[in-house]
Amino acid sequence: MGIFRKSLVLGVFVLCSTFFASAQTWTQKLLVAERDYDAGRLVSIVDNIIGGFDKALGEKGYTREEKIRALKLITKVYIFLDDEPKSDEYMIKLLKADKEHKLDAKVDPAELYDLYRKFRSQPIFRIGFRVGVNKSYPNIINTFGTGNTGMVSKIYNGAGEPPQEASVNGGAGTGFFINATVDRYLDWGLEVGLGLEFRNSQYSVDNFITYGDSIQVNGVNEAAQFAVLSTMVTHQQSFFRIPLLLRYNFKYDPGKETFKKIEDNVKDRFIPYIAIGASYDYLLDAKYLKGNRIGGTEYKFNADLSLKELDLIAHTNWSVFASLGLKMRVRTHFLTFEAKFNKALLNYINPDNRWSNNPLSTYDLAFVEDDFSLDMLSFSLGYTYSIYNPQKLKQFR
Amino acid sequence: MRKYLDPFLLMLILTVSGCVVEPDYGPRPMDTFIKYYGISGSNEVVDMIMSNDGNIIILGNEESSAFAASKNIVILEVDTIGNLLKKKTIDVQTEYMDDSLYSFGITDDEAVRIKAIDGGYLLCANFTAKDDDVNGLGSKIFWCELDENYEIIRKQVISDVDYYWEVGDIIKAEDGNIIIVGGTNRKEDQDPAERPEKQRYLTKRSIENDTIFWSKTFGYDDVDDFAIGIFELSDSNLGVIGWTEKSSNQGDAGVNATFAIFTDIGSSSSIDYVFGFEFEGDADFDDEVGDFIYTQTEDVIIVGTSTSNSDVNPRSFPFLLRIRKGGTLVFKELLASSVSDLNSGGMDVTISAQNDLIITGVFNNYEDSITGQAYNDQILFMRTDQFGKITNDYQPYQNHFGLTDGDDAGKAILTLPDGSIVIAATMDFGNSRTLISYLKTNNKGRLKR
Repeated sequence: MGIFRKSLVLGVFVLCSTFFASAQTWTQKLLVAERDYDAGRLVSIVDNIIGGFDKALGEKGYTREEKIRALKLITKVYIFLDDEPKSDEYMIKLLKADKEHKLDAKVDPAELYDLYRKFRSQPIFRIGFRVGVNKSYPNIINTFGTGNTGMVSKIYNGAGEPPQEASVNGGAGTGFFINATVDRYLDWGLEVGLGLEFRNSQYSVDNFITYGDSIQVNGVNEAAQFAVLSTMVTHQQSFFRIPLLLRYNFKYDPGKETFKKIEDNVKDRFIPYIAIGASYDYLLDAKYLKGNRIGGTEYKFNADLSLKELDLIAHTNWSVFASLGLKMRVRTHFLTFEAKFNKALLNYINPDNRWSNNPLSTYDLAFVEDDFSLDMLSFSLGYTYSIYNPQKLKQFR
Repeated sequence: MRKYLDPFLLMLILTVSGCVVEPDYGPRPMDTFIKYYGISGSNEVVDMIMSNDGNIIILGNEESSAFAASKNIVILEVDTIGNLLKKKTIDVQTEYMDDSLYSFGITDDEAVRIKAIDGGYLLCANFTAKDDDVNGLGSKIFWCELDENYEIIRKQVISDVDYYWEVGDIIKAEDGNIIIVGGTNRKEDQDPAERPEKQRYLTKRSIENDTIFWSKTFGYDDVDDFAIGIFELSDSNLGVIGWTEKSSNQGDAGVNATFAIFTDIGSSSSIDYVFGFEFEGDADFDDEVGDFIYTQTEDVIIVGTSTSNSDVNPRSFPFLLRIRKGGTLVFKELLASSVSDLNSGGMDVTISAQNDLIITGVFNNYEDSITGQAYNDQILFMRTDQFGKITNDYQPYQNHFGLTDGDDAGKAILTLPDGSIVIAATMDFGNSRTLISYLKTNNKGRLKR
């Protein structure tokens, strides 16, 4: 065979090789590269598969799953090529492509684990949105009234026994709220959160002016209170709130030391939690939604009366709360279900103006507010969105 | 350390959830408030005094909305923070149901005065028997002595089928006997009037039995007179506050206030001062006495309502009179308002801790100049200096209380030892539903601490 023939055979081989090589899809190239990695042929892996990331390829490029595999493969290659800057770079790309990427102890080398732990793989914060319903529980501090407060109490939210010849007309005292919180994970399953909330709530009060008389019960006269005048008001209030909370997540600790924790705890689909916190509450508005009187003539109620403008309600308050909830993982985000009890620390009423600044209710409804903290039980449904910014931890830079 | 986290958090939650700041906002004597008392029906205030043990006694009337109900006398004792301590209802018809001397049948009773005496109280009231054929037409007087629990110890009536009597006041004299004043159409023997109508009536009686030491009437020909109050002066003379339809010493027409001093009860001679008011040249005002107080300096301060008889521009205003025990006029002030259509009247007066005068009464069809809110009659709170003048310093002390639609009226006012002011008022919820109201304000007439 002359030199010419040898050259011809080589040329055909090169042409065929180039043809077949260029005919491989990026999927195949990735498989080949993975085999090369397994066989220890590291040198050309990156060059062979790097082109698949080109966005211009569109559907001909990597799928999402392939992209993650490719990034992980390149990272491992650079680890074993001792190219630390490049391995760091591709670890970050990997964590950006696959948030909270889970390593597989069966296939992933310890070196990858070692690199992984040096990076922030967890969210830098989470943003939670919640909507829910609430029910008020006025907690009476001191009773005031225009009637015989020692004999007959007001009835809040329809729960109580009215005096004789009277009925209870108040509603259940339900409202709604919407809030957004920014949560940041600390450690040991603990998160801290700061939020904004709009809360609309109600409470109703049945109020009675009574006189004492007797009533026959089984043929025996018993003392009883009879209603002369019955009034009912429904009080609605809107608050802008700034809650600060500390949340403890059961069965959730992304950790940073052990491999086990990464695998076992992050993948839990349901994460129960408890939280405590405090809130600054600013009154946006308060008014009487309804008001009526039984006794005398019909009372025409002015529902536009702003109790905030009348300075009848404390404009600011502080409250503490405790909540019990459940997070349901949706990929790296969560659906949340939460029950919360909120206890106001200060009097809801401005006592200085209790009697003086309410021209309608004090006289026409014979009603005056008690001192009370406006406590609240609420149930909410929410969605928590995780925000990531993977970076090498400071101590490893 | 991690294993201790769960119980620690649980304890923290329980601790925090149990914490609440409880401000000291409890009811206190200095607090202001409004209280309502009454039965289903109409309840009205007549008088208010301090009880012998420092509480408040509100005297009034109540009438149930039940069919065929009659009006009764009601006594409420409340503490200084408005808690109802005792309630006593007195029905004259019940009191005399088994009395062979009287057969009044169903009566409507109207309380007039209650006075604190040693060991109890004196009460006087008018009543009318609904069966006129048996008992005669018109008012009769019921008076009694009550113990500390408002149980009747002794009771008497002044009644005659041919005449009527109306009581204005009752006192226990220094000698322990009872003096009652009022009005009657019966002329006593010593009365020099030739053509008497309703005359002022004055009688002294024993409390143990119905011994009449003397009774006398006095007044003016062709006009009505009435004695609304009596007090015993330090020189044992009697001062009698009242009104007459006779023109005043200054020529003011209409009803005028009177202050009579009896120097010799055995004769008919008395000094009778008549005071009237005019407004913008209109002297034809009816000056109806609401109430009076007898001061430590033996002056008497009278409050009332001056109402013009003008059909063109009918006006009414509170008035204040201060008279020395000898009859000398210290001042007389008509508390006129420059606001057109704002009419008012005075029903009771008290001396504040600052020695000013505070009156209560009625603002008729009040319209708030600031909010524009229109009301029916409102309770009046008006503070003047000790000379009955409302200077610029006293303008902020004018106030009003009451329902939007009801016709409310302040009937009685007192200054409590802590300087706060209490008002007993009748509140009108409409549809024949009125309630007795007890308001405690600061000395500026504000329901604020």
